[in-house]
Amino acid sequence: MTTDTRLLDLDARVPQTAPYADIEGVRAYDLGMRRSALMAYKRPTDRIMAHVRDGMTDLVEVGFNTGLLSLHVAGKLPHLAVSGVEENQNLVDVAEDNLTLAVWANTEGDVEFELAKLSRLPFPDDSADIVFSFSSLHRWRRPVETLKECARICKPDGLVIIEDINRHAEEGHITFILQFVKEGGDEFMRSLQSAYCREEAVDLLGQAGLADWHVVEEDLGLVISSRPIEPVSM
Amino acid sequence: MSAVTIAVVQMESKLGRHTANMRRAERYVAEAVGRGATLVCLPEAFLTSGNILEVADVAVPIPGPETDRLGELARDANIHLVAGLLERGDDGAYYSTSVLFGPDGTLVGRYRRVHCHELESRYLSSGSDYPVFDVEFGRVGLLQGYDINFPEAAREYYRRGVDMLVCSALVPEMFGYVANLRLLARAVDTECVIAFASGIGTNLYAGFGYMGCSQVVADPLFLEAEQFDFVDGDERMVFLESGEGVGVVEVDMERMRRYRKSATLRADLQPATYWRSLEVAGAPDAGERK
Repeated sequence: MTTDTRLLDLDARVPQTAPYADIEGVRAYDLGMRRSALMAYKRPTDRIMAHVRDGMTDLVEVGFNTGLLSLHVAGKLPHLAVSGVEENQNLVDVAEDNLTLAVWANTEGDVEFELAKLSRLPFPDDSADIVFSFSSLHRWRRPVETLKECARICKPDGLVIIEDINRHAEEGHITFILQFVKEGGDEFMRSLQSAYCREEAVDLLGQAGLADWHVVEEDLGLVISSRPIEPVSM
Repeated sequence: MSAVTIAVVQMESKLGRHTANMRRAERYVAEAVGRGATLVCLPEAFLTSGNILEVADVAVPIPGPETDRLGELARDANIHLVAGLLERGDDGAYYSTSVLFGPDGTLVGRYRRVHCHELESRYLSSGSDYPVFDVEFGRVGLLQGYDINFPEAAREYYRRGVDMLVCSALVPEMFGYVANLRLLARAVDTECVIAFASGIGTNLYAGFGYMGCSQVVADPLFLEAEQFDFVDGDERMVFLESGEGVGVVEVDMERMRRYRKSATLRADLQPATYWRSLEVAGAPDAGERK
């Protein structure tokens, strides 16, 4: 379908009020992701894997949602510690349940999940080899502070990779996703409305004193990184 | 030996669980054999599910340890066996491939899927041949699910005189309704029996399910002659809607061939008129209107 005007009302950012307010909603979201989102998680996983080097010890995920990406990455990198931080108690509870199942299944991944403010990460300066975040930035309450924190905990030769949806992605990418998410369409659109566009992300970095970081548009997503990185092909 | 007892296996293959998928396939083969099957058909990519995004990690060489095991299964049960595998070719390309084993366990042949969906073709290469294999119950051709959309593929086998097509499939459920329509049409188009062994389960990458509907179909007019019941609508001799399981049916291929001799339309074909260059035929290209 082609059209001259945008079908979707995505001009201005509409922050979400209290997402994931009840545990049942979070469980339903988590189950939907587990059943259908491996494709969406593949790209950030590949991107992280592409930057793992010998001698690395610690990865940190900022805003782990229900823990799926940390678990997925940790299972592929059992020799690295993966620490996740999330500030929503319901998300933490469901992620802990997912971790419990991983423990039952004797997964070799070394994962821990923690409840903490994303604007004050519970890690020392220069302690993480890779700091990553996926599909979380649009929910950050104090994004400028959290960006500063990502920079603070990342080792000097480390890497920060923050991926999220791009509110101003081409409509074709958005409608492509909508045909798959079916009953989750409304939720997806609300998330998209609360997401940043490229210019807004550049502005946030500027406010955080990180004007030398990079923001790239990629299909439906925005990729923010502390240094230039190669795009990952799907 | 013109009678063949065909079993189509409908199973769910899980991502990243090759060993368990093989083990469960073995159980279904044993169940089919216990019910008298002499030809057992497994779905497309039964070992890996449709994991084309990681095809470089999960594809197997043919021959290789996986086909050795399938050959053993065929030999131990004294059956013909067809299975779909993601293949890592000697040429460095990847294919969705069907393999056929004989009752002595030998790999009789393979078919590399010719038609690939646009979204698949970044990961999979297309085969280019429609090989046929003469086994004890007749001439067999191999197809895979997506090929059912292309009458040309079925007719290539028709030209080669197949008695049976074995189609290993893993078809997204949104295409199920149309695939079911086309499958019956292909059976009539090819004047042969089609065994359709179709996977089920969920694609965790994109959240759609697979259609299942494993079945064995034949030209309804042949079945009327064969079964003397003159009731339309029994062209599906076996039909498994959803869930895992094994469908089994015995077909007398010799009777099928006798019937076909009397009823075939082959003599009325006009091959000189088909697939001519449109320029020569003075016809407009698709999409053009004159």
